[in-house]
Amino acid sequence: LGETTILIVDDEPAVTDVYAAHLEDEYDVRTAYGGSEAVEQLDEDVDAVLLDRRMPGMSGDEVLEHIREEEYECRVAMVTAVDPDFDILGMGFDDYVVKPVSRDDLYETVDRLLTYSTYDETFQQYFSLVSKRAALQTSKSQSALETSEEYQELTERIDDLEAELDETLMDLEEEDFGAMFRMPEPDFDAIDSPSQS
Amino acid sequence: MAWQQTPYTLGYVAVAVAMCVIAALAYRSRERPGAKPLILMAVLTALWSGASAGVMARTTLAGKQAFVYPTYFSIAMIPVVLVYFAREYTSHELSLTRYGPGPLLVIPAITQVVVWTNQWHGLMWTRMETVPSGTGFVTLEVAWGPWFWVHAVYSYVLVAVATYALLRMVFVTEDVYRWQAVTILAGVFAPWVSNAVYIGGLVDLPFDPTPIAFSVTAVMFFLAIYRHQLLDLMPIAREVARDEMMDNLAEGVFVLDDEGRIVDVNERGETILDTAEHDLLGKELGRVVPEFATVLVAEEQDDDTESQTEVALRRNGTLRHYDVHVTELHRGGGLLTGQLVSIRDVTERRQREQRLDVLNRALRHDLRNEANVILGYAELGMKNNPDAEWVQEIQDHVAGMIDLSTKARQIEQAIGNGDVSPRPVEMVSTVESAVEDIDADRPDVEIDTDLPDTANARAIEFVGAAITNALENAIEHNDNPDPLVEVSVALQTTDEDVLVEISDNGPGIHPDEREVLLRGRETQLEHVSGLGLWIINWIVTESGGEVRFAENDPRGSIITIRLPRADEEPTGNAAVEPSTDDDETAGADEDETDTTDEATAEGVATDADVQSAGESTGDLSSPVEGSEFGPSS
Repeated sequence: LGETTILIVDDEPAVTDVYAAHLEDEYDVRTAYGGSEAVEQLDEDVDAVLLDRRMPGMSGDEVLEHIREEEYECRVAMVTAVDPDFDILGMGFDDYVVKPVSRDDLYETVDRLLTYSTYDETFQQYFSLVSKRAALQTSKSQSALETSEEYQELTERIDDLEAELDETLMDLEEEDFGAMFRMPEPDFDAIDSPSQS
Repeated sequence: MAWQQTPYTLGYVAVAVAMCVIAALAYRSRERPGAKPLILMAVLTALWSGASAGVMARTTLAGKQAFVYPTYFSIAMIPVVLVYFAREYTSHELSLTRYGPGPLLVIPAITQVVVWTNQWHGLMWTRMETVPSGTGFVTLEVAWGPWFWVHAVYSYVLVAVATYALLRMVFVTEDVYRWQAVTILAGVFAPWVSNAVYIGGLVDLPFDPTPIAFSVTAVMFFLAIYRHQLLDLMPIAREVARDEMMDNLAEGVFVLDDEGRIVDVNERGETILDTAEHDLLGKELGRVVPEFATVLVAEEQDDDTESQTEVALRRNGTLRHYDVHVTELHRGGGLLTGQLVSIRDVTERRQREQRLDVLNRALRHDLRNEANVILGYAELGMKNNPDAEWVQEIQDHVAGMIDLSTKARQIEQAIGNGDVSPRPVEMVSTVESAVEDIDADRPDVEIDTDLPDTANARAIEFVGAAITNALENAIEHNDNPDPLVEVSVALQTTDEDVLVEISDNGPGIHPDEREVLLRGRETQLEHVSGLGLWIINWIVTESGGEVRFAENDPRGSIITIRLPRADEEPTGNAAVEPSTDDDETAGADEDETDTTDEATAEGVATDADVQSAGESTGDLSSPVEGSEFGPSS
């Protein structure tokens, strides 16, 4: 406990603070009320970032770009009231969560991010793409998805990665595979912080 | 004076008389557009024919010449008159007539001079002599001089232009006008074809048959006037009516030629551009209004024949929004090309949309942020003070608020954007999944179902949301204690429709609310509660169906959703609900996990995929419905 650091970024201080109040029970929490403040708070110790999108000044999207450019090792979830549109396809987040988020949602999201950080790059990429697909499926109509070339590309990309990962996994022992992918239904009382393992 | 009697003379005279009659008939309707050139043409041909009779009747060279010279007045003038006739008849400005008749008359005038002074220079005829023909008559034999050819070529150019204009109309217009045009063309062509035959020497004739061909002209014009109601049903009459209509349109209309120049504009168009018609005609619309230039060019490159774009223009200091609708005109196999541009002022609609967008954003984005804070603190309060009932109350009511926001999103997803059109949807599975979702949400309520194996309806893809909302309506407003809440769904198909009936034993939908839905308008005082009934109404209406509300016996309400039946099978997974309802997703989540277990052969990654996607979806869809914040958390 205390070794895992979460950075919470939202221009609405009340939102940031209430997330922090919940997550402080389990994690080392940093908060930032804006994009540039978030950049200042970032360092190698940060394991996961909960990032609002729409912020005056430096937006969450820009913070995310900065994180990826600087190659920080942290995983990022966009936590936003903005419905996902096709523009998310070019973004490098690991997860997309639409507000409002409950305490359970917060813990599930953080836990998922920390789990991803134990995976290798291909898997991280895969889950990032899958989260985009899921996000778009919730906000776009079927016909809009069907007619979007970008979305078709995304689906193909996911299929390719699946095939690639399939092959890798064939080489693994059954129990390794089980340990890795039969992720239990998140039970956060039992799992404190998977990244510590 | 030497005269001879020939059968041709009589023919010429008859034609001349006939043309005079036609001129007189046309004179009676002289106020009608196009009548004047027609009168002139008939008079000129009568003159030509009459003079030709004289030429035939005389036997001496001088006598014949006295009649030949006047025929050239008609011969030279008729092509000019024909051009004017074509212009008026087709009501289409010809480039030849742009500077008035003056320039066109230069060569005919010179021809007159050359004809009457021929004896000194021989420019018209190099030789002219009388010869006895094989039939015993004295006829005229001539050799043409150089000016004759100038005159001939010029005449044929004018005839060609007139013919082009008339021909174009033959291809462009329909019905009566086309027949008129054909008749007119036959009348116009006959003399010139025969004249060409004579001058070209294709057939050896003792006389110029051209005036005889005017008998054809006379008959044709006569037909055009009486049989095809030339002057009564002149296309221009239709044109006048159209002008009147065009000027009364709410849209500004511009007709552009193939160069993008304005050839016609209505009054509204003048008002929108704040420029008078005469300042607009002949100018390129893309230059007059540079904002339109890209729209017009884009349309030209586009394959579609119609396009619609919104353009903002600043008029008298205020920004107005216009819908610019461009239609490609392409008729008669490319003889006529151009563009029809109609411009509608949509500023008010645009402002309304803008306000709606802002309200929508406030309802969705800002409200979610606020609710997030309240819920967060309520949960903290719950943690510190687990027995406080008021915390639970706060959570429940904020959940209701978020539900409204979710429904607003559903509405926008389902019908907000124009790309959702009805398609075949399998309704039984749609109803089943809606029922399962509700079951997952409210395990305390049992929903009876009476469903066939399959039923295909035409509906928009979010029709499931209508069913879900109808079920929620049946449960949420039910004032019976839990075990007594009864909700049932029945689905039946008729020859034309698929009917989904949702009945409950709640308090029923108040007649005032039904009234509001029927009227399609609500006020602060008279409105339905929440958004559910509107969602049902809108989705079903958009699908081409109908919602009916009835009272259940002994109490409660029956909502009947009628959708048009689809003959074809649904393609793809058409029946998708907007998965904004968290509890629905929770249900779907379980389903997916089940399928995954069955499909392990597909591979490991798929396993992980489904699981993760399921989870993500769970979080993505605004995950704060009642149960999520209920006592279980």
